[in-house]
Amino acid sequence: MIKNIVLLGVLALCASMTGCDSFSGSQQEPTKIKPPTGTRQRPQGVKALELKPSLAQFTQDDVTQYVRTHRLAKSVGDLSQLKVESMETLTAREVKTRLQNASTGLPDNTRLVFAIIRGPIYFSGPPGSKPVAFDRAYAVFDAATGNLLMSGTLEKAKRPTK
Amino acid sequence: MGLCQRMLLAFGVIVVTSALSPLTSSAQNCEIIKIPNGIIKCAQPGAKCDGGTGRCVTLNDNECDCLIPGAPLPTYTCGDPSSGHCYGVNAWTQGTEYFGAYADITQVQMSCPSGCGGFVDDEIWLIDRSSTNCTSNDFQMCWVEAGTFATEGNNPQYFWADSRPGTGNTFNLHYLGNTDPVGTVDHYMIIKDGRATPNTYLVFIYNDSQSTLYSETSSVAGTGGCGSPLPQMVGREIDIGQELAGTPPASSVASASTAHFTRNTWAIKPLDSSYVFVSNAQTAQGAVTNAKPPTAAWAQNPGAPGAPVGGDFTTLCCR
Repeated sequence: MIKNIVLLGVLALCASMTGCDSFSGSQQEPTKIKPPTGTRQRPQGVKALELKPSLAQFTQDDVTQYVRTHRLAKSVGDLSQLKVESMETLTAREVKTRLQNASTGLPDNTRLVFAIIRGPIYFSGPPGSKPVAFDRAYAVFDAATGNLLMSGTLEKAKRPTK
Repeated sequence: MGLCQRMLLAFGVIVVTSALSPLTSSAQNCEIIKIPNGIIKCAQPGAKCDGGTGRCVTLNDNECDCLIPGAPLPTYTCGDPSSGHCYGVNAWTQGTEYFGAYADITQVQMSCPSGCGGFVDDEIWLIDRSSTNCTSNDFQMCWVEAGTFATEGNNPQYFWADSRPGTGNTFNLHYLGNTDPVGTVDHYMIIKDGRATPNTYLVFIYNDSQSTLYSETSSVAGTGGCGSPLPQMVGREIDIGQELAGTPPASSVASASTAHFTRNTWAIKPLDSSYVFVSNAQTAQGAVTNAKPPTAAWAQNPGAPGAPVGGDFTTLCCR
């Protein structure tokens, strides 16, 4: 016990005398990591909508049922009030334009289904953030597989969050 | 007192601490031992606890708990319109710019069963809470994030998301694909691309063989119509760790095994024509948030003797 206390004192004295700037982050040798250059994978999304063999694609009711039973990632709040306001089949390029340059990560001519969801729907962010209410959000589905590829916010609620 | 001085003092404190009788846990009466490399174990595995109804069990390198056979898992309240999610994270901030963030994260068993009402994830964030174009967006902050999550009823998936400057569809989340097998160390890199005007952020998620390789781009929105793009965010905060969402019944709580975040580094300049992520390792712990659940702690502090580059930060859910 006494030895340890003495050791502690010596360490504290050493720390106050040396400055130890040689251990500071500002003097470390930077490391270099090469970003990957292999063939990137195409985003697959998460299984969401069942394609009906008899129909060209899934319906607005299908999307409504989905968003009322499957919470869009990073969202909170009551799902039962969500409504699908509109649904369109667009190319990935068109979706990128609709989303003001937010990339889908897919080839431009990929067929997608762009659904606008009427809320309120709440999204939250990193630690320290509070949920924000949005009147409208969106979900993007792969027209070929029904997989959910993207979701996000459109129009912020004009009234304060509850 | 400088960083090194604090480390030397801390080393001395740990040496003194380990020589004393074991610390008493503040919960369930299980004594713990904390040894110099930061690992925590039960002093007496199998000892009775919690009035004799439970047994002390070393759960992982960071946790000793009193487990009561047959007792239901605790529930949690991690998400409603007023309170937001729960976090087990470490946050670094600095006045100068972080041009990017990088971490290696072990892929763990992760689930959010039907009824969990949300998700559990492990991820990194690069955040701007101060630039004018970000404080004026819908969230009053910008960020780029990347990681893996288990959403309700689904297998774990890779994802990335951004909250961009401006108020036009600020937040965008991308569902990428199923994750690598449990135990795989995946690499997560967010880097400002200085070759693009306006600057974009590139997001890479990949494994050693690049059999998993997602390469995505976060771009600023225009102002609409013929407007000019807004200035890109300036990262001044990096967070690593776990986010938990939902308010489930005990039968549907989420779970995630202990994940390790290592090689925690930050880019000292944007990507240029040399196409190299030039970085410094994190050398300090930062500010830890430990909502319990999730549980988060440093298994090995950044810069500690024998620690991986950038330390070893762990997350676990959901007790």
